[in-house]
Amino acid sequence: MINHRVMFSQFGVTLITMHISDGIIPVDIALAADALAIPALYLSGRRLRVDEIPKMGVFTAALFVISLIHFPLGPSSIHLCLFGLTGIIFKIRSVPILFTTLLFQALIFQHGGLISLGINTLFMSSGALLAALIWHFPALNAASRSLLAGFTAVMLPAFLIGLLFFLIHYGPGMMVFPMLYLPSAVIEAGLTLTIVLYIQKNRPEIIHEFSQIL
Amino acid sequence: MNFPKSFNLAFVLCFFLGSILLSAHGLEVTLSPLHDGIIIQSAYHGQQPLVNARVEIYYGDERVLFQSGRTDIKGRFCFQPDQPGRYHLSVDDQLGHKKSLQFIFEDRQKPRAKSPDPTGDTPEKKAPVAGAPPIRTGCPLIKALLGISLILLLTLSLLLVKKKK
Repeated sequence: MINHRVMFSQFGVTLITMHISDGIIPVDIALAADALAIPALYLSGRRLRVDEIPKMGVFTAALFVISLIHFPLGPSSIHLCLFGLTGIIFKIRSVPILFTTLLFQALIFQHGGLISLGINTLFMSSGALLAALIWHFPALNAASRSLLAGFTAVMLPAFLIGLLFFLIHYGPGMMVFPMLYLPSAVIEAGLTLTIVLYIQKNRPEIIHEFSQIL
Repeated sequence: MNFPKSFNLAFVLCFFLGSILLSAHGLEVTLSPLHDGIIIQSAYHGQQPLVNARVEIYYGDERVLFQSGRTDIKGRFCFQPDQPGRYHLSVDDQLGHKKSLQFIFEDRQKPRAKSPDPTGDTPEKKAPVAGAPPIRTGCPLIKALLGISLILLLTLSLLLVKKKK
Protein backbone atom coordinates (compact mmCIF):
# COMPACT_ATOMS: atom_id res chain seq x y z
CA MET A 1 0.00 0.00 0.00
CA ILE A 2 1.07 3.58 -0.40
CA ASN A 3 3.15 4.31 2.58
CA HIS A 4 5.64 7.02 3.37
CA ARG A 5 6.15 10.35 1.80
CA VAL A 6 2.78 10.88 0.21
CA MET A 7 2.59 14.62 0.16
CA PHE A 8 -0.71 16.02 1.23
CA SER A 9 0.41 19.41 2.41
CA GLN A 10 -2.49 21.28 0.82
CA PHE A 11 -4.72 19.72 3.44
CA GLY A 12 -2.43 20.62 6.30
CA VAL A 13 -1.11 17.10 6.65
CA THR A 14 2.36 16.28 5.49
CA LEU A 15 2.60 12.51 5.36
CA ILE A 16 -0.05 9.83 5.27
CA THR A 17 0.07 6.09 5.73
CA MET A 18 -2.41 3.29 6.31
CA HIS A 19 -1.43 3.05 9.96
CA ILE A 20 -3.02 5.58 12.24
CA SER A 21 -0.50 6.72 14.81
CA ASP A 22 -1.16 7.58 18.42
CA GLY A 23 -2.07 11.21 18.91
CA ILE A 24 -3.59 11.70 15.48
CA ILE A 25 -7.14 10.86 16.39
CA PRO A 26 -8.80 11.90 19.67
CA VAL A 27 -8.03 9.56 22.55
CA ASP A 28 -11.71 8.90 23.28
CA ILE A 29 -12.26 7.61 19.73
CA ALA A 30 -9.12 5.49 19.94
CA LEU A 31 -10.16 4.02 23.29
CA ALA A 32 -13.70 3.35 22.02
CA ALA A 33 -12.18 1.48 19.09
CA ASP A 34 -9.95 -0.47 21.50
CA ALA A 35 -13.06 -1.40 23.48
CA LEU A 36 -14.72 -2.61 20.28
CA ALA A 37 -11.66 -4.50 19.16
CA ILE A 38 -11.55 -6.65 22.33
CA PRO A 39 -14.88 -8.44 21.71
CA ALA A 40 -14.05 -8.61 17.99
CA LEU A 41 -10.82 -10.37 18.89
CA TYR A 42 -12.59 -12.70 21.29
CA LEU A 43 -15.33 -13.60 18.83
CA SER A 44 -12.90 -14.16 15.99
CA GLY A 45 -10.49 -16.19 18.08
CA ARG A 46 -12.83 -18.41 20.04
CA ARG A 47 -12.94 -22.15 19.47
CA LEU A 48 -9.53 -21.98 17.83
CA ARG A 49 -8.42 -25.43 16.72
CA VAL A 50 -4.92 -26.65 17.46
CA ASP A 51 -4.14 -27.22 13.79
CA GLU A 52 -5.12 -23.62 12.96
CA ILE A 53 -2.60 -22.04 15.33
CA PRO A 54 0.70 -22.82 13.54
CA LYS A 55 -0.70 -21.77 10.18
CA MET A 56 -1.94 -18.52 11.62
CA GLY A 57 1.39 -17.95 13.37
CA VAL A 58 3.47 -18.49 10.27
CA PHE A 59 1.17 -16.33 8.16
CA THR A 60 1.33 -13.58 10.80
CA ALA A 61 5.12 -13.67 10.68
CA ALA A 62 4.98 -13.53 6.89
CA LEU A 63 2.60 -10.54 6.96
CA PHE A 64 4.84 -8.82 9.48
CA VAL A 65 7.85 -9.15 7.19
CA ILE A 66 6.05 -8.42 3.93
CA SER A 67 4.67 -5.14 5.20
CA LEU A 68 8.21 -3.97 6.00
CA ILE A 69 9.48 -4.35 2.46
CA HIS A 70 8.90 -1.18 0.51
CA PHE A 71 8.90 -0.79 -3.24
CA PRO A 72 9.36 2.61 -4.85
CA LEU A 73 6.39 3.73 -6.93
CA GLY A 74 6.66 7.18 -8.47
CA PRO A 75 7.33 9.79 -5.83
CA SER A 76 6.15 7.44 -3.08
CA SER A 77 6.68 3.85 -2.04
CA ILE A 78 4.32 0.97 -1.49
CA HIS A 79 4.38 -2.13 0.60
CA LEU A 80 2.22 -5.18 0.35
CA CYS A 81 -0.26 -6.01 3.08
CA LEU A 82 -2.19 -8.94 1.58
CA PHE A 83 -5.44 -8.24 3.41
CA GLY A 84 -7.35 -9.89 0.58
CA LEU A 85 -5.33 -13.07 0.71
CA THR A 86 -5.58 -13.09 4.51
CA GLY A 87 -9.36 -12.84 4.30
CA ILE A 88 -9.69 -15.49 1.61
CA ILE A 89 -7.58 -18.05 3.48
CA PHE A 90 -8.28 -17.28 7.13
CA LYS A 91 -11.76 -15.73 7.01
CA ILE A 92 -12.79 -14.62 10.51
CA ARG A 93 -9.38 -15.63 11.88
CA SER A 94 -7.94 -12.66 9.96
CA VAL A 95 -8.76 -10.46 12.94
CA PRO A 96 -6.29 -12.05 15.42
CA ILE A 97 -3.73 -12.36 12.62
CA LEU A 98 -3.91 -8.68 11.75
CA PHE A 99 -4.06 -7.69 15.40
CA THR A 100 -0.85 -9.59 16.16
CA THR A 101 0.88 -8.16 13.09
CA LEU A 102 -0.10 -4.62 14.03
CA LEU A 103 0.84 -5.19 17.67
CA PHE A 104 4.38 -6.24 16.82
CA GLN A 105 4.73 -3.50 14.23
CA ALA A 106 3.74 -0.98 16.91
CA LEU A 107 6.02 -2.50 19.55
CA ILE A 108 9.10 -3.01 17.40
CA PHE A 109 8.88 -0.42 14.64
CA GLN A 110 6.56 2.16 16.24
CA HIS A 111 4.29 1.88 13.17
CA GLY A 112 0.85 2.89 14.30
CA GLY A 113 0.69 2.86 18.08
CA LEU A 114 -0.61 0.96 21.06
CA ILE A 115 -3.56 3.27 21.78
CA SER A 116 -4.63 3.26 18.15
CA LEU A 117 -4.08 -0.48 17.87
CA GLY A 118 -7.81 -1.10 18.20
CA ILE A 119 -8.86 1.20 15.40
CA ASN A 120 -6.08 -0.05 13.14
CA THR A 121 -7.14 -3.64 13.82
CA LEU A 122 -10.78 -2.88 13.11
CA PHE A 123 -10.04 -1.02 9.89
CA MET A 124 -7.57 -3.54 8.48
CA SER A 125 -9.74 -6.48 9.51
CA SER A 126 -12.73 -4.91 7.79
CA GLY A 127 -10.86 -5.22 4.50
CA ALA A 128 -9.94 -8.84 5.15
CA LEU A 129 -13.48 -9.75 6.19
CA LEU A 130 -14.93 -8.06 3.13
CA ALA A 131 -12.52 -10.13 1.04
CA ALA A 132 -13.75 -13.27 2.81
CA LEU A 133 -17.35 -12.36 2.02
CA ILE A 134 -16.56 -11.60 -1.61
CA TRP A 135 -14.72 -14.91 -1.91
CA HIS A 136 -17.91 -16.72 -0.95
CA PHE A 137 -20.06 -14.76 -3.37
CA PRO A 138 -21.33 -17.50 -5.68
CA ALA A 139 -22.21 -15.48 -8.78
CA LEU A 140 -18.60 -14.85 -9.84
CA ASN A 141 -15.81 -17.18 -10.86
CA ALA A 142 -12.71 -17.67 -8.73
CA ALA A 143 -10.51 -15.28 -10.71
CA SER A 144 -13.01 -12.42 -10.52
CA ARG A 145 -13.63 -13.03 -6.83
CA SER A 146 -9.96 -13.03 -5.93
CA LEU A 147 -9.33 -9.89 -8.00
CA LEU A 148 -12.23 -8.10 -6.39
CA ALA A 149 -11.29 -9.36 -2.92
CA GLY A 150 -7.69 -8.19 -3.26
CA PHE A 151 -8.78 -4.78 -4.52
CA THR A 152 -11.52 -4.04 -2.02
CA ALA A 153 -9.51 -5.35 0.92
CA VAL A 154 -7.13 -2.41 0.45
CA MET A 155 -9.69 0.18 -0.58
CA LEU A 156 -12.14 -0.37 2.28
CA PRO A 157 -9.62 0.41 5.08
CA ALA A 158 -8.36 3.37 3.04
CA PHE A 159 -11.91 4.66 2.66
CA LEU A 160 -12.61 4.18 6.38
CA ILE A 161 -9.45 6.04 7.36
CA GLY A 162 -10.31 8.88 4.98
CA LEU A 163 -13.82 9.02 6.40
CA LEU A 164 -12.54 9.03 9.96
CA PHE A 165 -10.09 11.86 9.26
CA PHE A 166 -12.88 13.77 7.56
CA LEU A 167 -15.23 13.28 10.50
CA ILE A 168 -12.64 14.45 13.00
CA HIS A 169 -12.18 17.63 11.00
CA TYR A 170 -8.94 17.03 9.15
CA GLY A 171 -10.75 18.60 6.21
CA PRO A 172 -12.82 17.52 3.21
CA GLY A 173 -9.64 16.77 1.29
CA MET A 174 -9.36 13.62 3.36
CA MET A 175 -12.08 12.06 1.25
CA VAL A 176 -9.52 11.97 -1.58
CA PHE A 177 -7.28 9.86 0.65
CA PRO A 178 -8.51 6.46 -0.65
CA MET A 179 -7.51 7.44 -4.19
CA LEU A 180 -3.88 7.37 -3.09
CA TYR A 181 -4.23 3.65 -2.52
CA LEU A 182 -5.54 2.84 -6.00
CA PRO A 183 -2.18 1.73 -7.45
CA SER A 184 -1.51 -0.36 -4.40
CA ALA A 185 -4.98 -1.91 -4.55
CA VAL A 186 -4.49 -2.80 -8.22
CA ILE A 187 -1.14 -4.46 -7.48
CA GLU A 188 -2.62 -6.32 -4.52
CA ALA A 189 -5.53 -7.49 -6.66
CA GLY A 190 -3.17 -8.93 -9.25
CA LEU A 191 -1.04 -10.57 -6.60
CA THR A 192 -4.04 -12.02 -4.81
CA LEU A 193 -5.34 -13.43 -8.09
CA THR A 194 -1.96 -15.04 -8.85
CA ILE A 195 -1.54 -16.57 -5.40
CA VAL A 196 -5.13 -17.80 -5.13
CA LEU A 197 -5.04 -19.41 -8.57
CA TYR A 198 -1.74 -21.06 -7.68
CA ILE A 199 -3.14 -22.36 -4.40
CA GLN A 200 -6.32 -23.58 -6.08
CA LYS A 201 -4.31 -25.49 -8.63
CA ASN A 202 -1.79 -27.05 -6.27
CA ARG A 203 -3.14 -27.06 -2.72
CA PRO A 204 -6.85 -26.16 -2.86
CA GLU A 205 -7.40 -27.48 0.67
CA ILE A 206 -5.48 -24.47 2.07
CA ILE A 207 -8.34 -22.15 1.15
CA HIS A 208 -10.99 -24.46 2.57
CA GLU A 209 -9.27 -25.33 5.87
CA PHE A 210 -10.64 -22.29 7.63
CA SER A 211 -14.33 -22.76 7.05
CA GLN A 212 -15.94 -20.25 9.41
CA ILE A 213 -16.51 -17.07 7.40
CA LEU A 214 -17.96 -14.85 10.09
CA MET B 1 4.68 -32.88 20.24
CA ASN B 2 3.67 -33.52 16.63
CA PHE B 3 3.48 -30.41 14.51
CA PRO B 4 1.80 -30.41 11.11
CA LYS B 5 4.26 -30.88 8.27
CA SER B 6 3.41 -27.49 6.83
CA PHE B 7 4.37 -25.89 10.13
CA ASN B 8 7.73 -27.66 10.21
CA LEU B 9 8.46 -26.53 6.69
CA ALA B 10 7.37 -22.97 7.38
CA PHE B 11 9.40 -22.91 10.58
CA VAL B 12 12.52 -23.97 8.71
CA LEU B 13 11.81 -21.37 6.02
CA CYS B 14 11.42 -18.64 8.62
CA PHE B 15 14.75 -19.47 10.18
CA PHE B 16 16.33 -19.71 6.74
CA LEU B 17 14.98 -16.24 6.03
CA GLY B 18 16.28 -15.14 9.40
CA SER B 19 19.75 -16.38 8.63
CA ILE B 20 19.70 -14.47 5.34
CA LEU B 21 18.63 -11.36 7.18
CA LEU B 22 21.36 -11.84 9.74
CA SER B 23 24.03 -12.39 7.13
CA ALA B 24 23.18 -9.03 5.53
CA HIS B 25 24.92 -5.99 6.95
CA GLY B 26 22.68 -3.49 8.64
CA LEU B 27 23.65 0.14 8.66
CA GLU B 28 23.53 2.45 11.60
CA VAL B 29 23.50 6.19 11.09
CA THR B 30 23.96 8.60 13.96
CA LEU B 31 23.42 12.36 13.90
CA SER B 32 25.37 14.45 16.38
CA PRO B 33 25.69 18.22 16.83
CA LEU B 34 28.93 20.10 16.28
CA HIS B 35 28.72 23.86 16.82
CA ASP B 36 26.21 24.93 14.13
CA GLY B 37 26.70 21.81 12.09
CA ILE B 38 25.70 18.19 12.22
CA ILE B 39 28.00 15.20 12.08
CA ILE B 40 26.72 12.09 10.36
CA GLN B 41 28.39 8.99 11.72
CA SER B 42 27.76 5.88 9.65
CA ALA B 43 28.75 2.32 10.44
CA TYR B 44 27.80 -1.21 9.60
CA HIS B 45 26.01 -2.97 12.34
CA GLY B 46 29.25 -4.52 13.54
CA GLN B 47 30.48 -0.95 14.15
CA GLN B 48 32.80 -1.04 11.13
CA PRO B 49 32.65 2.48 9.64
CA LEU B 50 31.33 3.10 6.13
CA VAL B 51 34.43 4.49 4.47
CA ASN B 52 34.01 6.62 1.35
CA ALA B 53 30.24 6.09 1.30
CA ARG B 54 28.15 8.42 -0.82
CA VAL B 55 26.14 10.92 1.25
CA GLU B 56 23.32 12.99 -0.20
CA ILE B 57 21.31 15.56 1.69
CA TYR B 58 18.14 17.01 0.23
CA TYR B 59 16.16 19.91 1.56
CA GLY B 60 12.40 20.23 1.81
CA ASP B 61 9.52 18.25 0.43
CA GLU B 62 10.70 19.08 -3.09
CA ARG B 63 13.96 17.35 -2.27
CA VAL B 64 16.33 19.94 -3.60
CA LEU B 65 19.87 18.62 -3.41
CA PHE B 66 21.46 20.55 -0.58
CA GLN B 67 24.80 18.84 -0.28
CA SER B 68 26.54 15.66 -1.32
CA GLY B 69 29.86 14.08 -0.67
CA ARG B 70 31.60 11.08 0.80
CA THR B 71 32.28 9.90 4.30
CA ASP B 72 35.82 9.99 5.65
CA ILE B 73 37.91 7.07 6.84
CA LYS B 74 35.95 6.94 10.09
CA GLY B 75 32.57 6.94 8.36
CA ARG B 76 31.88 10.59 9.19
CA PHE B 77 30.39 13.42 7.17
CA CYS B 78 29.74 16.92 8.42
CA PHE B 79 27.38 19.54 7.08
CA GLN B 80 25.79 22.76 8.19
CA PRO B 81 22.09 23.32 7.45
CA ASP B 82 21.52 26.92 6.42
CA GLN B 83 17.77 27.05 6.99
CA PRO B 84 15.25 25.31 9.20
CA GLY B 85 13.03 22.62 7.74
CA ARG B 86 12.89 19.01 6.68
CA TYR B 87 16.03 17.35 5.37
CA HIS B 88 16.32 13.97 3.70
CA LEU B 89 19.55 12.11 4.15
CA SER B 90 20.84 9.03 2.39
CA VAL B 91 24.07 7.15 2.99
CA ASP B 92 25.03 4.63 0.33
CA ASP B 93 28.19 2.56 0.24
CA GLN B 94 27.35 1.67 -3.40
CA LEU B 95 27.85 -1.97 -2.57
CA GLY B 96 24.20 -2.62 -1.87
CA HIS B 97 23.94 -1.04 1.58
CA LYS B 98 21.89 2.09 1.84
CA LYS B 99 20.24 3.95 4.66
CA SER B 100 17.78 6.81 4.27
CA LEU B 101 16.19 8.93 6.92
CA GLN B 102 14.71 12.34 7.30
CA PHE B 103 14.93 14.87 10.07
CA ILE B 104 13.73 18.34 10.86
CA PHE B 105 16.27 21.03 11.55
CA GLU B 106 14.87 23.78 13.71
CA ASP B 107 16.31 27.23 14.03
CA ARG B 108 17.20 27.44 17.69
CA GLN B 109 16.58 31.18 17.69
CA LYS B 110 13.04 30.69 16.40
CA PRO B 111 11.60 27.39 17.54
CA ARG B 112 8.95 26.25 15.10
CA ALA B 113 5.67 24.55 16.05
CA LYS B 114 4.79 21.61 13.86
CA SER B 115 1.38 20.13 13.13
CA PRO B 116 0.91 16.49 14.17
CA ASP B 117 2.18 13.93 11.72
CA PRO B 118 -0.44 11.25 11.04
CA THR B 119 1.99 8.71 9.72
CA GLY B 120 4.20 7.37 12.42
CA ASP B 121 5.67 5.08 9.81
CA THR B 122 8.57 7.23 8.77
CA PRO B 123 11.34 7.54 11.28
CA GLU B 124 11.46 11.28 11.25
CA LYS B 125 13.96 12.87 13.59
CA LYS B 126 14.66 16.29 14.91
CA ALA B 127 18.19 17.40 14.38
CA PRO B 128 20.11 17.29 17.63
CA VAL B 129 21.04 20.42 19.49
CA ALA B 130 24.36 20.83 21.25
CA GLY B 131 24.50 18.85 24.45
CA ALA B 132 21.73 16.47 23.42
CA PRO B 133 22.48 12.77 23.01
CA PRO B 134 23.02 11.70 19.39
CA ILE B 135 20.12 10.22 17.46
CA ARG B 136 20.57 6.58 16.60
CA THR B 137 18.65 4.60 14.05
CA GLY B 138 18.35 0.90 14.75
CA CYS B 139 18.83 -1.86 12.24
CA PRO B 140 15.45 -2.80 10.74
CA LEU B 141 16.65 -6.25 9.72
CA ILE B 142 17.46 -7.23 13.26
CA LYS B 143 14.16 -5.76 14.42
CA ALA B 144 12.29 -7.71 11.75
CA LEU B 145 13.99 -10.89 12.87
CA LEU B 146 13.10 -10.10 16.45
CA GLY B 147 9.47 -9.64 15.42
CA ILE B 148 9.38 -12.96 13.56
CA SER B 149 10.93 -14.75 16.51
CA LEU B 150 8.43 -13.23 18.94
CA ILE B 151 5.47 -14.09 16.73
CA LEU B 152 6.65 -17.68 16.37
CA LEU B 153 7.30 -17.88 20.10
CA LEU B 154 3.78 -16.62 20.76
CA THR B 155 2.43 -19.24 18.36
CA LEU B 156 4.35 -22.01 20.07
CA SER B 157 3.18 -20.86 23.50
CA LEU B 158 -0.43 -20.80 22.34
CA LEU B 159 0.03 -24.22 20.82
CA LEU B 160 1.44 -25.60 24.05
CA VAL B 161 -1.42 -24.14 26.06
CA LYS B 162 -3.99 -25.60 23.66
CA LYS B 163 -2.29 -28.98 23.65
CA LYS B 164 -2.31 -29.10 27.45
CA LYS B 165 -6.06 -28.50 27.60
